[in-house]
Amino acid sequence: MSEPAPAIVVRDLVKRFGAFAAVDHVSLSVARGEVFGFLGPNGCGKSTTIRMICGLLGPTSGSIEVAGLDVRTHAEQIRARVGYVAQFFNLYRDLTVYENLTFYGGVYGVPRAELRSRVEHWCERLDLSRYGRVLSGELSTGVQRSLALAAAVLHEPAVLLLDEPTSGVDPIARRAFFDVIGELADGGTSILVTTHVMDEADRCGRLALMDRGKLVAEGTPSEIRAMGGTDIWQVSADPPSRALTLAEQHPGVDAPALFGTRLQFRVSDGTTAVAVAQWLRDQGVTCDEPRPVRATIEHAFLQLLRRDDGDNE
Amino acid sequence: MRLRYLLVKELLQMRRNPAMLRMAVFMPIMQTLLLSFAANMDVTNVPLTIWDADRSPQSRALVQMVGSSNAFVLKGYRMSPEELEHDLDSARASLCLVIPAGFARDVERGEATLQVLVDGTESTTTTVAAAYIAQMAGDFGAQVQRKLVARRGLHLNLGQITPVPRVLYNPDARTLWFMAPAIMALVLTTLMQNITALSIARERELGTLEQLVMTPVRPAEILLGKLVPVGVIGLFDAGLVSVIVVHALHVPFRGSVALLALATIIFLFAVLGLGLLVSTVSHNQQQAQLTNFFLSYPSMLLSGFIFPVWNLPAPLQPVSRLVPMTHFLEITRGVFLRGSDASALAGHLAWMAGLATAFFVVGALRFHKRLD
Repeated sequence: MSEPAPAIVVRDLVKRFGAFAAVDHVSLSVARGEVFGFLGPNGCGKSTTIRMICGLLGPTSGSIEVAGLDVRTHAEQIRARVGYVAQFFNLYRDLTVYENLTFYGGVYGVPRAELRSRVEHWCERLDLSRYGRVLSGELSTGVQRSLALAAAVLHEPAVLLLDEPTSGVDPIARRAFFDVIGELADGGTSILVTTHVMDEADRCGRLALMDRGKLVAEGTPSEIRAMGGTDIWQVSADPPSRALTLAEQHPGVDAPALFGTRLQFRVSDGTTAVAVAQWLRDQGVTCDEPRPVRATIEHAFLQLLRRDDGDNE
Repeated sequence: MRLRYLLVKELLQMRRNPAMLRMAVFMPIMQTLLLSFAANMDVTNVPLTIWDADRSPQSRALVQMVGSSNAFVLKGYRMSPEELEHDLDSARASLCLVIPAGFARDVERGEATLQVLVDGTESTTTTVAAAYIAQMAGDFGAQVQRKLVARRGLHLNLGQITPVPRVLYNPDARTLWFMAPAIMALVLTTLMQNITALSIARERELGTLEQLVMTPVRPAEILLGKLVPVGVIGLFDAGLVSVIVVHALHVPFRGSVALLALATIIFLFAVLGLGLLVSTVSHNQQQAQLTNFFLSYPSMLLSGFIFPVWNLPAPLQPVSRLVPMTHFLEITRGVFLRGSDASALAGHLAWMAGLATAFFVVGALRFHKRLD
């Protein structure tokens, strides 16, 4: 058997709003059964890309194929094969969980004979059964997210687009959510998920990092981590805030950041971590021996975007 | 098939929104009944005060004549012009009658004058009431002269001309008969246009429209899902108002029910089209409501709902044709009161159909475009 065609192929995609390029020559492809993480700060063009993949927004130039179909000519067929979970809860708050699911299953064309059993199956799987007759506006954010996911998968889409599906959800529910995502991918569904949450990024098969409309990096989580460099050092420092201020002033120290009482930093040519620690001690900061730490996606993310404000979750 | 799910969804949402359903049922009933009590421009019970400076048998006879007419209610006698002015200022009286000293002598000479002070702020009824008094005074003078002449054994012919008007369709010229058929137009416009615009603006505001357009549903199906239930409520309300107008208010219905139903359906298309158009220029429910509010006054003022279209200044008369209500009012009044048939109303039906098509096409195009 030949290699199956990728589920999503985006080639040289551009979207301009006036002079502003929201999406600037982006190319990516998502394989069948792959969980593809789409990272990037707010307003970087992720949502615009997703809207173009659904055919809701026409690209300025470039091409998009979903499940082998061109979005420009087959938008309606593509929407029937795509499931979408929006950033905010967009189902009907004045309908119950069952009513919402029946409605979305219905408009996606799930055969009536199967609709009921699929609704029951997904309610069971996503722990929604006990909320079946509750108005969805009265549910907690986490349950609403599960409901939105259920509504998006009832028609067994080939492609699932998730736009920050777990914002406002507690870590346990987030983990459960991603377990389901993993199962769907194992079943052959291709998943494109945008996120800010780094432990979610770690669970993706492949990642792309987008900034100001451009794709700045792409690869597996370990490849992305490697792009962040490996020479991250950590010391326990007291007082930590003074240590940070001092580290920022030291030549050759890159992207210092505090994690509780631990100060992490990189060093560039001309200095060493040991020298930095010694200097901190000279300035009256209590500090232990520097230890190298494994770079996380978050480190890579900050490094690649050249940001050091670290305001992510 | 997909439409079925959209319709079921709308019905479920309506059931969850009892305030809307109550409004759809009680507002037509309330408006129709209220109008039947309030919309009364017939001249009755106009408050009147009198300053009789003559105090003669003649002046008392005149006062009795005026006071016994059901057009007036005699609120009291005054002794000075200041008191009369105060009556008008305080709205205690809308009309004041001054019988000058020497009235009895003058009336026998045939050259009496009376003064009538009229509150012009309510000009519609008070000017008619003043004309009543003028007519009564004339009759009174003629009566006095006739008696004087008869006393001398003669017969006087004053050569009066008496026109005999025959009022067709509404023989008692009742305001209610004129206004009641119009209530249907009012209810359908205010209620249906608002429900349509709000239900679309609501989906946009809450983001549910964004989720809906990610499904394979076509924009036309979304629109049908929205408009069919509102149209059904509109037809129900039209029937409700008709039944109240005919059976409770006893306004005659002389035309064909089928013709009225046809006209109502076309009018509903125009109203829903306008509602759709309003929803496409509104970002949220509040804007949609205010836009509808803004549109409702011109359509009431230009359509002949209260003031006849022929009283509009010439440049505004063509504008009134662009208001669907203008045509629907002609049709409802025609069908209810005149018993007009389709051929007499064809022009208005055609105008209304044209406007409905225009609103719908523009509204649907804008709706489609704004989904992107």
